[in-house]
Amino acid sequence: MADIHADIEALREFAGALTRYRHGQREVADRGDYQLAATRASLEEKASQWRSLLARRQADLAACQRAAAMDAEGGGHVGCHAEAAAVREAEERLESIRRWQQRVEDGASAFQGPSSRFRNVLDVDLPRTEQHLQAIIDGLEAARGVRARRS
Amino acid sequence: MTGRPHEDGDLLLREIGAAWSKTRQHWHDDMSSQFDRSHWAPLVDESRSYLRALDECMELLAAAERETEF
Repeated sequence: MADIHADIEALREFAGALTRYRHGQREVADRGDYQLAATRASLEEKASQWRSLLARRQADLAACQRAAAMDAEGGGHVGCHAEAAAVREAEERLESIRRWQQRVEDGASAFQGPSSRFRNVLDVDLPRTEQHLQAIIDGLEAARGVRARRS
Repeated sequence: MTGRPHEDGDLLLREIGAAWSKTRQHWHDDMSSQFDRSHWAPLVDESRSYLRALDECMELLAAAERETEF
């Protein structure tokens, strides 16, 4: 029989700690995935708002330009600089949001590999490790029982 | 757990690391060394790899939210 240098109670405590670790990290992983989904939704909502605003501002600019054309026929001069600037601002902000959406998608792709592997660790490897540790504990208890009976 | 996900994950990893160190004080035979190599080290490696990626991802998401607040 191999030499046994283990405190069974310490192993039991560690087995419990492994189980708590698995549950805790699963919650961490869930929250990470939730945060990713929430940011995607938030960016899409912002993009939607700025698309609507851009459409309104483009309509305002078109109306201003029609009014300016009619006014010019009468010899007047109506400027549409403010409307044009408002359209440019909406275009720039919408473009910025689109760039950030792309960066988030790139980041999500890079995150996918480690996330998937870790999920596999939590769902498959760690339960096996816990079972392996329990088998060691059971074996130690059995060996201690044999020794106790012999002495 | 109430902090940011990767910070909570780091804390959990430190706690299980401390638990393993404590356990090794009471378990020092061949099985212990084998468990360390075959189970503990891979778990720590995968955990660190994931938490590093999670940290980077959370930083990116925070920046995306911040930079699109007009």
